[in-house]
Amino acid sequence: MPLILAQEYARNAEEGTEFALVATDPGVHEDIPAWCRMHGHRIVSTDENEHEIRIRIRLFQA
Amino acid sequence: MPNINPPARAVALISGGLDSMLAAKVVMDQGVNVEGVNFYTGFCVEGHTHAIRKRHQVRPKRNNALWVANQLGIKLHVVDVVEDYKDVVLNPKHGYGKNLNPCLDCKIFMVGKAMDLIGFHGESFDFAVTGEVIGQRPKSQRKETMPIIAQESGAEDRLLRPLCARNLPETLPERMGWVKRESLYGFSGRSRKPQMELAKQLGIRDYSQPAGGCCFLTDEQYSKKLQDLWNTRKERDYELDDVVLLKIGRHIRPQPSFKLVIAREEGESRFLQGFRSRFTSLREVSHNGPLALIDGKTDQSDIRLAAGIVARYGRSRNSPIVTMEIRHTDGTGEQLEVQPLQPYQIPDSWHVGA
Repeated sequence: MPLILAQEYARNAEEGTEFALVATDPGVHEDIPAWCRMHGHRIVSTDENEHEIRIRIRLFQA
Repeated sequence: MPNINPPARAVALISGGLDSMLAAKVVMDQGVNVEGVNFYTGFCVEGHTHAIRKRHQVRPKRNNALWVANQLGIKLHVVDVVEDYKDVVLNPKHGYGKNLNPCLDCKIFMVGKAMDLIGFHGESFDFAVTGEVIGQRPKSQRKETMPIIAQESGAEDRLLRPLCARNLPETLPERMGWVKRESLYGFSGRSRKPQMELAKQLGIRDYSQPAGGCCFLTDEQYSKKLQDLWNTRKERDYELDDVVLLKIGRHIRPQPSFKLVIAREEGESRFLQGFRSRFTSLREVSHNGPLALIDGKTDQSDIRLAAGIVARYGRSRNSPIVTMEIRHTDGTGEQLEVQPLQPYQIPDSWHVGA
């Protein structure tokens, strides 16, 4: 599940880290922004093609 | 003299439905600092499955637990319990409810996991909150099962059910004055009206109303697919990929040794692409057609049969010959020309869970 992958990555990363989450599950369009709002992280960019959705996230402390 | 005690802290089990949302809100409104927890078992994420399929576009494409937490303005911890949850599904001490749903064991497991969160990543909570209502569910939410859940989860009196607390013995949060018993509720029975009325009182206008609950294990077709998996593998076990794939596509088993998972629409084809490094896949290249995965062991004649079946669900189903691409897990592949099977050549008994 993309959300759990993002959460696990964030748990072990430092504030200010940027990473890209790559998913084929369109639910990420809703779930990842909601998770970022809740935990104070920021979405840097979202790109989508016919194969995958790539969301770039910068981590902040809530 | 001002009160210098910090507010009590509670962890609320958030399923994404109305009851858990109300339970958290009732406790928050009493000044308790609440954070949510949602357990990812592999069987529950109805929201993302709706996001995959176009025919479900009328439903919001979201994880309802996250959405609820956002509405309440609380943090949500999504905890991966896939491995630990297997024992609950495979060996439920209290048996199954509807289909393969281990209702009571599931609730005991989740409350127990919530209690583990005391000390979770440096967090510390004083008690746990659930949206249970006596009589709401025939197996897990009955007057007799409420103390079983509290005892077997290890929560004991640190488990508060704000929606039916007044029908139950006093709990630690009430005795400590963290919450007032008179501000809790005494709901019981299957009716949803009291919850809907409370939602209105609390200013909650939008909430999810999951059809058939949030767990795929209550679904008859899903349970048949899971049972088929166990029967054909001759062992009651599963991996996360197995249970996620049971939610997706058309499942056809032409031989005991393998089955096909065939996408029913473009959203599912795209989702299945994420599994191509773990399963041999097939797709029509001469015309538009769905992506399909092969789960199991196949020889060359099985592959040819599989290609003919998948071709039957493509746009060129009436063409005499179509070209299929077979892609193996190591990235190598080959093309195969096959005749699409006709519907009468795919017996109903091959359709798993239908």
